[in-house]
Amino acid sequence: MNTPIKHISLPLQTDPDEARRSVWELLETVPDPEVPVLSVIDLGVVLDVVILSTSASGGRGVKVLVTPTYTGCPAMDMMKMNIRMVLLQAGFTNIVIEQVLSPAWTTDW
Amino acid sequence: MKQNKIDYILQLADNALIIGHRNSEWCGHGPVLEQDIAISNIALDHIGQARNFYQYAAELQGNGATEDSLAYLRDVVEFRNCLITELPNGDWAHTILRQFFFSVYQYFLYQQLQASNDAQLAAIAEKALKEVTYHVRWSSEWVIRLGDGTPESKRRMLKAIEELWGYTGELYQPAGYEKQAAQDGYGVDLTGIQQAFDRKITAVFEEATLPIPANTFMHTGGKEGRHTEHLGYILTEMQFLQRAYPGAKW
Repeated sequence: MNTPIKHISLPLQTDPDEARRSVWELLETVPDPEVPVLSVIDLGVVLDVVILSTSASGGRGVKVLVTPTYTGCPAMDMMKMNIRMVLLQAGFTNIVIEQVLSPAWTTDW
Repeated sequence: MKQNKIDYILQLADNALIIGHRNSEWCGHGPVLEQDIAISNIALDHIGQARNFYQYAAELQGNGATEDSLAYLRDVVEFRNCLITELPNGDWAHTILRQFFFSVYQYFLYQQLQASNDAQLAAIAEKALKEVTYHVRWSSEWVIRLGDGTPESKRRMLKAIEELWGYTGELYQPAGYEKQAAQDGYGVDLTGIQQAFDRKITAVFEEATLPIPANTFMHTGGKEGRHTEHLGYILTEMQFLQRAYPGAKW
């Protein structure tokens, strides 16, 4: 059941749009803990990725907005942790993962 | 002002937690597999609602409060759940009837809470409403199935109505903090909901060939921390680990 998370290190990209696309691709490697063939992107759990401005010390920042599939989803904590780990591996030092509830997730996504 | 909002949110959270806990007691003991899974999922939906509310309350409270400290370190007098949620499960008829009353209440409550001037409460309500809509359907179908079923199922339903009816009034009697919340625009005015509740109960009971009791005495107190003896036992089990090993971490 433990599908290893692929470690991809992102080269430092100065263009935020390019960086954003790379992060989006990276998140496709984060699986649903219970159904590992599906990624958090496939599930519609990741709503948005925002590249934050680089800090004075050169640390790269990123914000990921996520939403739970159903209210009591126990896998959310694990998915958030895995997203964080993957972003750390890619070299980001300032990682913000924000959970939003509205608009509510549906299977249509 | 902020304390009032915290009190209001805790009431919503406690309701969800306690009924979620009660429903989870059926896990592994359901009458058939399909319903074992159904009631366990409903329990999980409720616990999810509770988490959302507790997390928000903890954020507002600050001072190191977390969803876990609010759920596990408060004692009976601090809990604000309605009495109906803490009653023992009884038989299947009792459980599904309790769910029916409570889910219909939650349905109209959350529907209105979506219009709260507090964005987070509105979002939680919008999210929860999707699942509560299913809870209403599931429990209504069971009320009809058992009410209009065999002589035994009807007998059990009549007994369940007798046991539970007196606990439905509390759902609509606003506590002080609820009145304040409605006034301040983030809470729901309960008087409007009672009529919708009555209409839905009447409609389903009619189809189930069940009688609506003449208005009886209504038990209250849960919203103010005056509970039946049952809540003490629930918390004893639910909070055992956190109390026996304070500050425990995985």
